[in-house]
Amino acid sequence: MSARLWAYLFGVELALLQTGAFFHLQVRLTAAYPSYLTVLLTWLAGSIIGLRLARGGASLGPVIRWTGGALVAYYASYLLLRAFPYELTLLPLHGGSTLAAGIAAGVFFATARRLFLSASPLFFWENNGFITGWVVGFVGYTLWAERFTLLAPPVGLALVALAGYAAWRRAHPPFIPAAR
Amino acid sequence: MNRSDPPLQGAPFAFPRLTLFLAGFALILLQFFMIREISALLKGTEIVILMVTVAYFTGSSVGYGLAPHLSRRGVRIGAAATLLIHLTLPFSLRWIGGWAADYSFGATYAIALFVAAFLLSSFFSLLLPRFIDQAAGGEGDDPLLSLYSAELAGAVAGAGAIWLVAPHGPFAITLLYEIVMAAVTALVMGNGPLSVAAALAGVAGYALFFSPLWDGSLAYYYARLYPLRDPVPLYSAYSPYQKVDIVESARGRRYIFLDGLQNYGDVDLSAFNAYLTGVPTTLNPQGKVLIIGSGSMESVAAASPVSASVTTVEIDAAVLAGARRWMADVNKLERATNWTPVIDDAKRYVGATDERYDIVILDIPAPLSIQVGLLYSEDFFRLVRSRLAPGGILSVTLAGTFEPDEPTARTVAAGLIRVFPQVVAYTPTWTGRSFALAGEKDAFTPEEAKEAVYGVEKGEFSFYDDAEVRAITGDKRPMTYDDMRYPVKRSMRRVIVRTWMGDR
Repeated sequence: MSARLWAYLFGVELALLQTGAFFHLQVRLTAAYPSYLTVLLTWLAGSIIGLRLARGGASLGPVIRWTGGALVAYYASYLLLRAFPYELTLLPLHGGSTLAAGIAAGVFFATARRLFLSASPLFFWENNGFITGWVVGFVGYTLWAERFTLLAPPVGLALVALAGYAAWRRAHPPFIPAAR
Repeated sequence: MNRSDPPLQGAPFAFPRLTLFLAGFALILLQFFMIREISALLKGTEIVILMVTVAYFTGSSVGYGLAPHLSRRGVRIGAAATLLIHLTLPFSLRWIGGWAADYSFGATYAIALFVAAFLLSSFFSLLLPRFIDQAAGGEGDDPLLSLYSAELAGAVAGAGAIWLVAPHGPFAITLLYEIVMAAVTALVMGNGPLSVAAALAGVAGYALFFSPLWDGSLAYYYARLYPLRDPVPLYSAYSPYQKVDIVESARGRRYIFLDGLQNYGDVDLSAFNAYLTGVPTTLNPQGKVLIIGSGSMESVAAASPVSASVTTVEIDAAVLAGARRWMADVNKLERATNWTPVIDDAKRYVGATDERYDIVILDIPAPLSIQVGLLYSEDFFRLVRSRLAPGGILSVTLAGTFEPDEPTARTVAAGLIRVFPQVVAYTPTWTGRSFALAGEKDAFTPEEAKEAVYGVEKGEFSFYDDAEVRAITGDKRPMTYDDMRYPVKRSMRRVIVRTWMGDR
């Protein structure tokens, strides 16, 4: 259960970072397509990079470090938006924030895979968490706006770290899958 | 470790990386056009788009959950069934949804959300965990790394393809999707070139019938959902923001629909443009005009002859392209030599520009989404005020009738009165909608404003001076960048009314 809970909470955290970034960009930079495309492409590219970075890794540390790094980048992007609103030339820098979140996602999948015999429940629970986080992110923004988008992700990260620690301790020694 | 996970059934599939690359490519395309198609079917507002998106991602969970339980034959049947269903979806959903709406619009909701949750993305998400599990257990890197990377790389390529193909219309993007889906199906079926050839031939045959099926289903849907007799589709586009349709009724009137919501077409919507543009340009003639939004671009025809220059800022290039081609009779853009179109988000444009305008016209739909709500917010009005020239005027619809018990109009007015020293409102009797003019104290007098409205109305209208506007608005909370509850609440109310009270 704890590995599944970890995957679920990680999905929630990713969605909180993604919806928060969307809302910040939509309000303070532009709601136009370049914002959406930047978030989408950097997220996907970051995930590919994260999968490569975590190659052969077998500990919780990189997941927490990269997710923490993504959170720092998220706040940096927000501060940049407050200081330079509507400045489209800074879009690549804001893309750096979602790239970091994508890397965290890739590192997570490559690392968490060691706790699952089948890949199916890993993706299943992470995706369920993502859906939950998407709804929570939307409702949270609607009700509390930036107070929510700024406070929820660190709370999510704390829960991810706790659940990850529990899952990692429980599944010792971890299963190590390899290609045929 | 979850030792209870069931073992895989059947022999491994061939070409897993190529299959996953194409699956990632197809998924992004599918998300792009089907979320818009289903949102339009349900008359997309903020809550509708959220529900459809959540249902779509739920489909992925359905696939992930089913992956280890299906036999190889089961996956193949799933592939063939998905291809067949997806070939019909762009049309069949409209026929089924339009038919169901005759009984209850709630039934249309249920059907659309069921399709989104179970019949869109679920097949694609079967593949990744399935392929990872079939390759696990050997030596070398975890197969998740290369296989998930292949799917993600496909998604990146798909996003690039959308950028290139979407401007060429729904046929191009739908056909591209069906071709890729056919290739995925052929790879999963595993009969080699024969399978690929058969699937592609099927898609080619389908392409021949695309236009009549598209037009027929669209006409059926709009005839059922709106009181339009024999509508003829003229233009459709999947833009990055919404689905855009322009149709012509049997009486020759043209209608614009954005995500299934009527944006232009009725006589009162035409009058809407006359008030919104005609009144401020009468008060402040030969000025520099900024029009935000505009849809049909009819307001350009009203503003251009009586203004020094007209700039429109429209976020969606597909709306502008449709208006240029199909609304030329009403917008007369070819005559507007002092008109400059800008494709941009209005917040960004107004926030970044150094220009000062004599008139700013907010020609946008009612606030049923956060994106539109932001343009009715106190913060945006403040931004607009900072870009008005001395004596400049903001002209805006109140998106409802300005009365003590009408929440939308008072919410919009609440933003205006917090920003502008002078706000007046008027309600022409035959439109039932109210409009407001806002500016500095010396921008206009109430008498001048009343006279300008009379110039357009020629009849009865209710007029509210600044004191009356403030009294009727009372302590209503405005929309702000930090408070977007109102458009979400209004969108939610519409969903409830439509699903449970039968109103279309």
